[in-house]
Amino acid sequence: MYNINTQIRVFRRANGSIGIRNHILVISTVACANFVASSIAARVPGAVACTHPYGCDQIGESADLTLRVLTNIGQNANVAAVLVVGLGCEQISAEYLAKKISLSKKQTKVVTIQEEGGTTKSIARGITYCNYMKSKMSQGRVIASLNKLIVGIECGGSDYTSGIAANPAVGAVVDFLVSLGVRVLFGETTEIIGAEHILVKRATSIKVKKFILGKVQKIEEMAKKMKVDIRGSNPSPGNIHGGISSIEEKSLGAICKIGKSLIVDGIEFADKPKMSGLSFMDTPGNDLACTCGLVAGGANMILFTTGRGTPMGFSIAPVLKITANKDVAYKMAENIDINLSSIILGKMSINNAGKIILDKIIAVAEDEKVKAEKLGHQEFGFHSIGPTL
Amino acid sequence: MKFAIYLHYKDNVATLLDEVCLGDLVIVKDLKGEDLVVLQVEESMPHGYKIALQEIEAKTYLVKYGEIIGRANRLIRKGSMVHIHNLDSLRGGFKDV
Repeated sequence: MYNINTQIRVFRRANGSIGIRNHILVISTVACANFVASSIAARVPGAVACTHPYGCDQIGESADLTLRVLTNIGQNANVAAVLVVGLGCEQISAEYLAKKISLSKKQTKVVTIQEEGGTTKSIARGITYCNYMKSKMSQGRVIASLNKLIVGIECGGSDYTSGIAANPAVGAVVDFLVSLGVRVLFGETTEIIGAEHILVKRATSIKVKKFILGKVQKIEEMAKKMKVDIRGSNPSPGNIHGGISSIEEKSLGAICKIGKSLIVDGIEFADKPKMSGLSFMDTPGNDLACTCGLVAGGANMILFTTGRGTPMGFSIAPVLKITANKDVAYKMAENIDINLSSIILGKMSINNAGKIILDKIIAVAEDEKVKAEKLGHQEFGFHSIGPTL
Repeated sequence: MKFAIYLHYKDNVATLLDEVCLGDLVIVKDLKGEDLVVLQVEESMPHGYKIALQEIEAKTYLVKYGEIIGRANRLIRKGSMVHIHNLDSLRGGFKDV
């Protein structure tokens, strides 16, 4: 039904990338600017705020990570224009961030609170800038090839149904998308522990193989060094309640979501995939941090499988919820986009489930809202890898 | 009827698709719904939990998806629950199991 010639209606950005949403993003460079940034976004229809507790008092890798995340979130093609709100004395300067974001050829504006003279004036200025950028930005969708999409895949709140049904169904979709040349990203390094021997067999180069093994080793070494047991947090109490007994079992279920595709690249958190096909990104297992990394990497949408149910959305990208747990599909119906519990009941094949997911991907890409969007979910957040000084 | 599913021919555990009570007979099937065997469960369990398909000696690997998901820390009788009380994870700890 869909093939290499399939076209979808999307927003085309000046740098050639395609967006499936047309957001104005109001991004804060530092926690001190969060209130102003959120207040501006709340007063401009179509604007969304991305705020966070970082951007100052960070050093080394931590500071680099924050800058990379904010830059690449701003560059995501679902965003049409960006307003950067800074305080004025922070480490990540608003002007510098805006300049980096504008390398993607999109409109940017800057509000600096210390220069504007406080909260009220900054909010007013920000609203004016957003409305100005809105008047300039393209509002119409154009036709583009389906394989220009970037899709992120993730699982969260897993239970026994995830590895049996929802993840294999997404895996079938991933295999198909990869065959069309779509860029697909997956992460959750913690959740490949115990399954990495399968992934490395799919790595297309020694470099990718070493990348995967190195990242897994880093987590296990960190646990040993800190004298902690990652089993205290992963599998989570909910995973265990849902029938998962070990990190190995969770991981073996989790990797079903990449199907049988080859892994063409290994990339750092929030980096952009350089190659078409399936790339592994080093991300935490934490749902919000992982989503943030994949979207910063350019993902237009996230396919998110869940067994326990989760409401989480994301500020600038639709997060499509897929479950095969019939109780969750019923109880959390307002949060679940696709119910695949018929697979567990033996009444739906994995391939048919894949077709249902593909239809939904196309519809969502062409502006159908996912449940998280309809409910107004606009989460944003990522992690710090070092101390805040 | 109550069902359980196993995912690979090497597996020594199956996943319950229905809640079961002590003594219930369960039909264990593969992914295609074929290769049926009937097993009596040794304890009550919610759906989604794993049962031993055979008697599993202590220190034996527990296998699901055809892969190791942990190691038995005691003798596990056929038809009884396999979960965190009798399965030790081999990964992610700071002490070797």
